[in-house]
Amino acid sequence: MRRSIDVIYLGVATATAIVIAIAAAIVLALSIESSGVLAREGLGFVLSPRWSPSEERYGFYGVALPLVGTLAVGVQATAIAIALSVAAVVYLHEYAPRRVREAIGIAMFAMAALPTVVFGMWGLSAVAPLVREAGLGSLCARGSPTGQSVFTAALVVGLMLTPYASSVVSAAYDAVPFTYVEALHSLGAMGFERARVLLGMVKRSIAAAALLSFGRAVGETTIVALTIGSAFNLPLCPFEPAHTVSSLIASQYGNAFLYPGLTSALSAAALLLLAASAATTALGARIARAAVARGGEA
Amino acid sequence: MRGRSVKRRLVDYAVHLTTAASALAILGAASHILLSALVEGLPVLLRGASFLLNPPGPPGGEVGGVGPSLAGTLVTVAIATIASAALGIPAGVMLSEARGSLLARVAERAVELIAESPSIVVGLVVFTLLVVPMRTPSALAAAVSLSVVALPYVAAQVRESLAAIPLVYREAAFSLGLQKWKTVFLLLIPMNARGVATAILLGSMRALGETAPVLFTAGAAFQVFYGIDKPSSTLSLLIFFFAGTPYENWRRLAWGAVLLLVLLSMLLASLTRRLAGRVRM
Repeated sequence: MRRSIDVIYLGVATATAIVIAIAAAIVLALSIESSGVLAREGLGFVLSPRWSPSEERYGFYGVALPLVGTLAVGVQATAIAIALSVAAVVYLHEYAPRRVREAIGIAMFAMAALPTVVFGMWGLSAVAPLVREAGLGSLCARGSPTGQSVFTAALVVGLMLTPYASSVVSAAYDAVPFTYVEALHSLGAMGFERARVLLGMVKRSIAAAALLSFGRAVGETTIVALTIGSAFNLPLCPFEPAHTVSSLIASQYGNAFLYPGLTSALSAAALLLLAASAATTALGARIARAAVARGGEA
Repeated sequence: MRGRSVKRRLVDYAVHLTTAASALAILGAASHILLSALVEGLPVLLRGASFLLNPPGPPGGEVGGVGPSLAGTLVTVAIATIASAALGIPAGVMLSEARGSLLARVAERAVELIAESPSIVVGLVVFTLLVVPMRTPSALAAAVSLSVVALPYVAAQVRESLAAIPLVYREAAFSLGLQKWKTVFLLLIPMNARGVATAILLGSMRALGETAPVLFTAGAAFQVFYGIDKPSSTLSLLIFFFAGTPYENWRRLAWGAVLLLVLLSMLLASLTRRLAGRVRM
């Protein structure tokens, strides 16, 4: 009797230990791989805009430009996702008739289930041509001739994140005690007035949704690699092509072994990506948990 | 409270209009994606067996099919589903049933870290630890990569569903003299078969849809499925590579693959929803 219990616990504990080992392996493998370039370039790795693996014997590795690209795509995509999902949540809760609510619920469900590569294919063949035809590229100095740009990538990533962000916001909106909603109605508040009060009460959850979305946007590779146009460029204008850290990895890691320092440099870039994504996601999850624990009365 | 002045009514109308426009934009984008996949992909998908079994045609020539990539997808997703369930279910059990113990606390952080890792990062690590020693990308490396990406979803779902079981059932089992870990596997898991099945489905859905983890681990063997330890490819990888090519026939093939992938994902998603009611993905 005793022995069989121990066997069950041993099995569960072994599997759990393997999971812990996987997490440790991710951090360790990246750290060891990237130590070469980090020792060589130091802070210059993050600060230098010069990336040329083929130069001299080791090459120059600075990810400043892709870092700015990642930030630009992340911020714009998060802004789009949060604007769309907050507006949609307000509309669905305060204005929409039931059938419209159901239709949008189905659309959100379908979007949440779509693989990112489908969004990428759609962005490349529907959104990029739209950006090109609209002549948005001509607004910028180095505007994209193909329609692949920071804005294109951010728009598609933002749409991809919308179901996720709105599920977080919607859950918080639903969690506001019903007495408040009743009280608002009894005071004769109109839709936008109810929304203003209720959104004020769930602002922590909106912040959490923004951080969680940003964390996912930072790591998103498939969509961005297909729609950003892959260029070393400081993306101060949203209709120019650029690189993000993830699209840089996607486009160069395949041939990285041909250059002495490139594998290490791309691993260091991946480590940076992991740190950024983990930090924002952890913070977002923490705020979300705290907001839920307060029971919507934030 | 002021009456319903003209100004309030106007503001309300404006807010109504803008929020409705946003909701419409979401609806429009979702329908446009699905309709594009249907319009562009259906003619290719309707080629039937030749699409599902043949390799892609030569650049600029016939459309061909996605046979090798479909085989690669089925093999890698199957392995990833089994592996992520084999590790994720016990890990979820540990997180729920041994809450507070040192092992569970460390495991909690580990699962979070894996969930927070961008999937391209997972691909890179598997490349370093598996593809380099094996000296070749393979379906196996792709499957390992996908398992790691799917793992935290399985573990989190199992933990949530176990945590939702009322304490009285555990108390009843303990009062009958059943030990803790036996209770989990003789009572809680069978009671909660739906939750566990949902977890496994969520894991396989994740594995099916991901592209970044297999980018450097699967290889790019679109013409033949060589076997589990040889270079391979998946549907998502085929779309990623063929989407940007200048060849009309390859882009059409990519759309066919998009529709197939959309149909498979929707099937898994609706199965999940039917099992679980509401699930956050």
